[in-house]
Amino acid sequence: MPKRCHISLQKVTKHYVRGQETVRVLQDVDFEIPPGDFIALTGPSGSGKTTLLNLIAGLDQPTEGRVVVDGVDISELDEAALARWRNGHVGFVFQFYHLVPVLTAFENVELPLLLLRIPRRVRKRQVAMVLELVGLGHRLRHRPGQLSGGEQQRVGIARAIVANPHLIVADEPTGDLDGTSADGILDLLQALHQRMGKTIIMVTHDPQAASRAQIAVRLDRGALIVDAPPALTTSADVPEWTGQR
Amino acid sequence: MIEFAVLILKNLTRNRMRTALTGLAVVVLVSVYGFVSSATKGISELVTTQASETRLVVTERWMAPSRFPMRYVDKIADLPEVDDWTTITFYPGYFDDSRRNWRRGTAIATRPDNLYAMFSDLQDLDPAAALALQEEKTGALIGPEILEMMNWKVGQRFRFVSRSVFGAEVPLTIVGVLPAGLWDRGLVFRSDYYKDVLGQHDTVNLMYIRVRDEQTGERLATLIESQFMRHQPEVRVETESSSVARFVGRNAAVLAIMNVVVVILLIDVLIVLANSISISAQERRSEMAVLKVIGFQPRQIMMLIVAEAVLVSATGSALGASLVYAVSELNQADLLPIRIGFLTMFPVAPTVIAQGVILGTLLGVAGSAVPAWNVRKIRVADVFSEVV
Repeated sequence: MPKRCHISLQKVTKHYVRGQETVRVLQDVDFEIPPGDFIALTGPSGSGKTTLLNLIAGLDQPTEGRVVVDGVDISELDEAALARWRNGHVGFVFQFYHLVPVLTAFENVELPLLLLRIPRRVRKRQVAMVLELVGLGHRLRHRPGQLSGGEQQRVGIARAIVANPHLIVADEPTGDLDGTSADGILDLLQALHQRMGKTIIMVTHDPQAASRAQIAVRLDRGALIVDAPPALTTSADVPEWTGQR
Repeated sequence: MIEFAVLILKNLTRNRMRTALTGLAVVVLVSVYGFVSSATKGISELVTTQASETRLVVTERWMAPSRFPMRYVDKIADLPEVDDWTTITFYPGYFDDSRRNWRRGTAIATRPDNLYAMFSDLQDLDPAAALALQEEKTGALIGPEILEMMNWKVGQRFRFVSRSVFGAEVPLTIVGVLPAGLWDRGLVFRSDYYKDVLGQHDTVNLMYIRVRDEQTGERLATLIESQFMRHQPEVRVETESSSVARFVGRNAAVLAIMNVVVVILLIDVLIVLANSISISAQERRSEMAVLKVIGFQPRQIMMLIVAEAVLVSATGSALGASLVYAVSELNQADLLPIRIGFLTMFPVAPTVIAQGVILGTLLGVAGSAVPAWNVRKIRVADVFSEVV
């Protein structure tokens, strides 16, 4: 049974101050994501995709408005509380993998579990199982430098899911990969969504990648526009929460 | 924190050269600290020996080493308030005719009949040894370190070879062992025998006088100094405690300089350590941000940085302190190619190892405080906006 994960962005505004200038990245964004959805966030560079992702994942705080996940207003949490919340609730997949180069694949995936007080034996079993799940059961003792880009991203995904979070956020997860590797990663994300019921929010520039999601949401000049992905052929397929049906 | 031990250890292997050089800086610091602290401790122990106000030391006023005529001794000894007296003549030489540097020492020729009364630091001397020196004119009391170094035993005969007069030597018989500590490398023999063998009757280096009380000492010191004021050479008379204090004062200046050097070195190593940790942390900003993303608390990330610094610093200091202690022990056991006189006089105590590790740990914490605080403040969103 998947964990619940209802995300609600309420009048979210994000401004950055750069010198004398205030950059308005998001303006009064209202957005609801029901549990178990796979959303693709698209839009031109600088449109605020990553900012929105960071707000949902609790990596940044909105200038105004609220980000509520399963009833918890994470925009009210302090830095330490947010770190604890992320450890238990969010798995993050990066474009450039961001693995620790001196650690093996196994040790990289083990990192989030070190923060949870679980027995060493259980931890080891869980890491091995997750690496097996992403198809790297035979690469446990390899360091990132000894793995291909696609394999490194699989390790990144394993690290994101090892603590069994209900939400996975992925920032351009295929942006640094060739076509074949990218397909493999998207297959994996789709499998996590379909078989494990994870809520996935993926930022991407790639229409092919976006087409794997249930819904593609386009950000344009700080506002959200919901697009029907190629896979959705009728308005009935568009989820009710989008308000586009 | 033990859960993160692998991460901490592996982080130190990223740039092995940098880690090794940083550790080496700490090794050097703690080694210097070990030597200086042993010297400081040794000197302060010298001050706390039973330097007395009722023993006076007569020396030549202006020259060093002191030397004045024997006729002064006769005149001073005849003064009514002198309870007891002795003379000291230094005789530098070698313990055998190999003339090797580490087999040299300075013998003291003195009266054998009043050692306990005149030498405050010979109170632990075995009475049988003191008596044997009185009974055997060729007798010598010898320091335990010399005995061990030369593999000698009580009863053994040897020739103490002059360092200044070629061919001159004093045949001696070991009749007892001097107390350990200040006398470790000492050699004491009879002044009357010294005069007989070497034919030197004219001068002595020092004269010790024992008086009834402190007031008598002050009065007598003034009297002796005034009596020899217009003589050539003039003499200085001071209490044993002020003589020791003067010796310590002279050395205190050297020690102060050494301490300043240690402090400068400490600051220097602190900067090296802080710089090394800063660079290392700066290089890993995005990794630190990732750790934050996956749930590491800011204080945990801070602790990772501090732990890395402490590990390098404490390991370096443990190595440095152990090295100093080992060198000192090897020196004491005469297993080094060159004997280090400084370490012989002020051997390094095993407590230096513990002190070194504590110093290293504190150094690690201090050196990593600023870099760790900066890492703590990393904003994840800022780091990834730089990366992309």
